[in-house]
Amino acid sequence: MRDSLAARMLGTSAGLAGVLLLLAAAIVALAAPWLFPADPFDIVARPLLRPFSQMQHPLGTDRLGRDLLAMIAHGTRPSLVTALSVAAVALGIGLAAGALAGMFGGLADELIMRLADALQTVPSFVVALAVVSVLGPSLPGLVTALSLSAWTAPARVVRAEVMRLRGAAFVESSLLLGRNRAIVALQVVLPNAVTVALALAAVIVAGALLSEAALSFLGLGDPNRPSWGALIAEGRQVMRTAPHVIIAPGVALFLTVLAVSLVGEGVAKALSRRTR
Amino acid sequence: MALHRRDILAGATAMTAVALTGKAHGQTTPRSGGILTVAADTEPRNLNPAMVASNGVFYVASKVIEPLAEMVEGGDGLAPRLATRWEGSPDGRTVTFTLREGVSWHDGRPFTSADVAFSAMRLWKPLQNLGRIVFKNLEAVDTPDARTAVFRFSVPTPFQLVRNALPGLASVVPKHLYEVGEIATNPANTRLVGTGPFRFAEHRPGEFYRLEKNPSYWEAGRPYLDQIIYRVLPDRGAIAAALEANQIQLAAFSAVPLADMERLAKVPGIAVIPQGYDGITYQLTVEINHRRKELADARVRRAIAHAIDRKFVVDTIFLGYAKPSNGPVPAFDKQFHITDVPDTGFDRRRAEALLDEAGLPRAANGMRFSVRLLPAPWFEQTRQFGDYLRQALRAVGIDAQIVNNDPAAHLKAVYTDHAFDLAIGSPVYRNDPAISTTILYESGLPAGVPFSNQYGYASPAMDGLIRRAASAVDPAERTTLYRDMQKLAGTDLPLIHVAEFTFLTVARRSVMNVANNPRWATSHWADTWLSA
Repeated sequence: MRDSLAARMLGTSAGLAGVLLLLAAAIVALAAPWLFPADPFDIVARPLLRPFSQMQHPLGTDRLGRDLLAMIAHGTRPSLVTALSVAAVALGIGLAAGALAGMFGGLADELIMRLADALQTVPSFVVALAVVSVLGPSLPGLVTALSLSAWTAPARVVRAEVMRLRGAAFVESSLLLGRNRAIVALQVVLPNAVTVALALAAVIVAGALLSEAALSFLGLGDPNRPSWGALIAEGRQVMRTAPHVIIAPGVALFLTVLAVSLVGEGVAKALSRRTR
Repeated sequence: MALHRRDILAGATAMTAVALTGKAHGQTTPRSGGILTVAADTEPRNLNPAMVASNGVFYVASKVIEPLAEMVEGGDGLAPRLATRWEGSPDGRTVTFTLREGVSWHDGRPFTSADVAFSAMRLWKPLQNLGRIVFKNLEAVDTPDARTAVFRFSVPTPFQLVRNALPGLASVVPKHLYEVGEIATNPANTRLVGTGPFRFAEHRPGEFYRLEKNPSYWEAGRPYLDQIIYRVLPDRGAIAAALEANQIQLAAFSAVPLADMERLAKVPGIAVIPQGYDGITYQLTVEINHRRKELADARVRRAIAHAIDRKFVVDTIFLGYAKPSNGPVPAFDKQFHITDVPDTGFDRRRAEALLDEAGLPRAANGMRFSVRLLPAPWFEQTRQFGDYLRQALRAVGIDAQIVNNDPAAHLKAVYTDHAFDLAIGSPVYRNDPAISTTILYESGLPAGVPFSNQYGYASPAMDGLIRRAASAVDPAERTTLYRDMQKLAGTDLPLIHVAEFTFLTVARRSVMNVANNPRWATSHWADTWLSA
C-alpha cells in the first residue's frame, strides 16, 4: 500500500518536482565537503564580488570576501538535517501521543491534550528562542527547541482519526480478544490513522527549515558553521548595495522550502485520490 | 548646485526645493528658526549626564545640560561653557574655576558656584561611571563667592587630567532640584533641567524626544534652531530611508550601515561627514585571557598580533573609515601618542615562527591549540572582525571557535566570569589615558568591573607607571610616563590594538555647522542652523 502511495505521489507533477528538488538539495548537502574541500569561511577573493564575474566564485563573495556558493553548499546539510530530525521527532511523539489520547480518552486524553493546548497557546518560535538560548545552538538543542511545539499538530489530527476508528469493527474485535488497549492503539489503530499525519510532515519540515534559518538570522545559530539564516542576516546590511549576498541564500532557502511543500502537496493529492 | 535627474522627476515641488537650496548654499549668515529632526536609536533609562557619562545620554542631554568646558579643534583644545577660566595650583591640590555671569536654569533660578560644588561632590565623584576614577581624591569644593568654585584634592591630582575631563565628566545639574530626596530616582533624571541652549520639552517612549529653544540662553542670539526632535528609529535600514525621504535631517554615530554610506553619499542633498568624533575615539582590540597558559606567553600574543592584517580590517570591515592602531593612545591625541612601539605588522611567517618557538607545534589536524573567541555583540564591526580573526588565526594554526552572546551575557562572560580565551573589545579613549584607558592595564581590580583589566595581566612595572602617572602633577613628567606606559604595552602586548575608529554623521546638506568640534554629536548644537 505504501509503495502505491509513493507511486501515486510521484505521479502528480507537484510531487515529482518536489522530490527532484529535494534530491538535488540532498546531493549538495552530501557532496559539499568534496565540492568545496576548503574551509567555507576562508577569505578567498575581493569582498562583495558580483555573481558571475569570476568563474571560480560563481555566486560572488560576501562582505569579507568569502565564497557565497561554498558557504551556501556547506549550509545545506545543517538545514536539512535539522529539519528532517525535527519532523521525525515531532511525528514520532505526535503519533504516539495522539493515538493514546484518542484510544483511552478520559484522564489520559485530558493530560495529553491540555499539554498540547498549553504549548499551542505560546507562539512556537518564542518557545524555540527560549529553549535555544538555554541549550545553546547544538543540533540536539535545535531539534528539541523546534520539536517541542511541532508535535501538537500531528497529535491532534491523529487523535481525531483514532477516535473515529475506535468504534470500528476491527478495533472492537481486537479489544474483545482481550488485547491490551495501548497495544491495540499503537498496533491496530495507528497504522490506519498514520496517513493523515503524513501530509503534515511536509508542513513540519518546511516550518522547521524556516525556523532554523530564523534562529540563525537572529544570531542564535552556531557561528562556526555556515548557515543560510546567518548569511541572510549579513546580507541585510548590504541589501541596497550588494543584493546578491541576501538573494543567493534566500533563493536556496526558498527552493528547499518550496520542494518540501510540493512533496507535501503531492502526498495530499495522492491521499485524496485514494480515499475518493 | 547642479540639477539632478531625481529632483526633476520628483516634479515641481522638488524644483522649488532645489532653487531654494541653491540660494541657501550662497547664504553664509546663520538663520534662526526651523525644526531639526534627527534619528535616535536608544532611549537611555537615566538621561542625567552628571551620573551617566555615556554617548547615548550626551546625544540628547548635552543640549540641555552643559559641562564646564567643551572640546574645540586647535588652541589649547578647550572652549569655555559654564566656566570661563580654570587654573590649577602647582602642587596639584587645587583647581580654581571662574564661572560665567548671567546664567540661569531653565526654571528661572540663577546658576551659581553652589550648583557646581553640589554636582561635583554629590554626583560626579560618588555616582558617575567615569567621575569615580578622576574625582576619587576630590575632598571638597569651596565656594568663596557665587562665581568661584575651588576644587580641593586630598592627594596631588594632575591639572592636565582635570582639564581633559571637563567636557565629558563635568556636566552641572541644579542643586535646588537635586538636594531633596534620592538622587538616583530624582524625576529630573528623565525630565532634564539645565542651563543649555535647549529646554527639555517632551519624551514619548518609543516615539521621540522633543527639545525646544531656550529663549533666555546666556549666549545672545543662540540657539538658532526652534526645536530638536529625536525620532526613535531602532532599525538602521529605516534610518537611511528616512534620511532619503527628508523625514529626518541627520543621523549621528554611524546609525546607517557603513556599506550604505557610499550609496547615500551620492544621493543629492545628503552629505556623509566623518569629522566631529575625534574626542570619542573607539578602539578595536583583541582582549586576551592570560589565565590560559598558552596566552600567558608574550610570544604567542605577539604571534596573534602578527596574524592580523590591519590593512584588511580597515579597508574591508571599516570600509576605510578607520585607522590601524598600534597601542592604547589613538593618533589623534598628539600629546601622548607615540609611534616607536615594537612592530606588530601583518607577517604570518613570523607568527608561525613565534608559535613554534613557544613550543606549540601544529598537530596532525594542522592546529596548534584551540581558543574560545567572544566578539562583543554591540557593533557590526566587532562581530565582523570576530569572523575575520577566526580565519586569520586558523591560517597560523590556532583553532578559534566563536561563541556569540547577547550584550549582558558577553559582559558577564568576559568581565565577571573570565570565561573566554580571546574576546573582541571596543574601549573608548576619552581624551586622557587616565579616564578609561589605564584601567585596561592595571592589575588588582575586582571581577565584574566592565571594560577593565579582567584579563589576568599583572605587571609590577606597568602598575608602577600607572600609579606614578596618576599623581604626576608636572605635565611633562606625566606625558613621559604615559609614553613609557605605551612602550611597555607594546612590548608586553597584554591586549592587542587593531584599529581606531570614530563614527560618521549622515546629514542633509541643509543642516549647517555640523561636526565643528571633536565631540560634536555629544555637544551643545547652539550654533547649528537650518538653511531654508
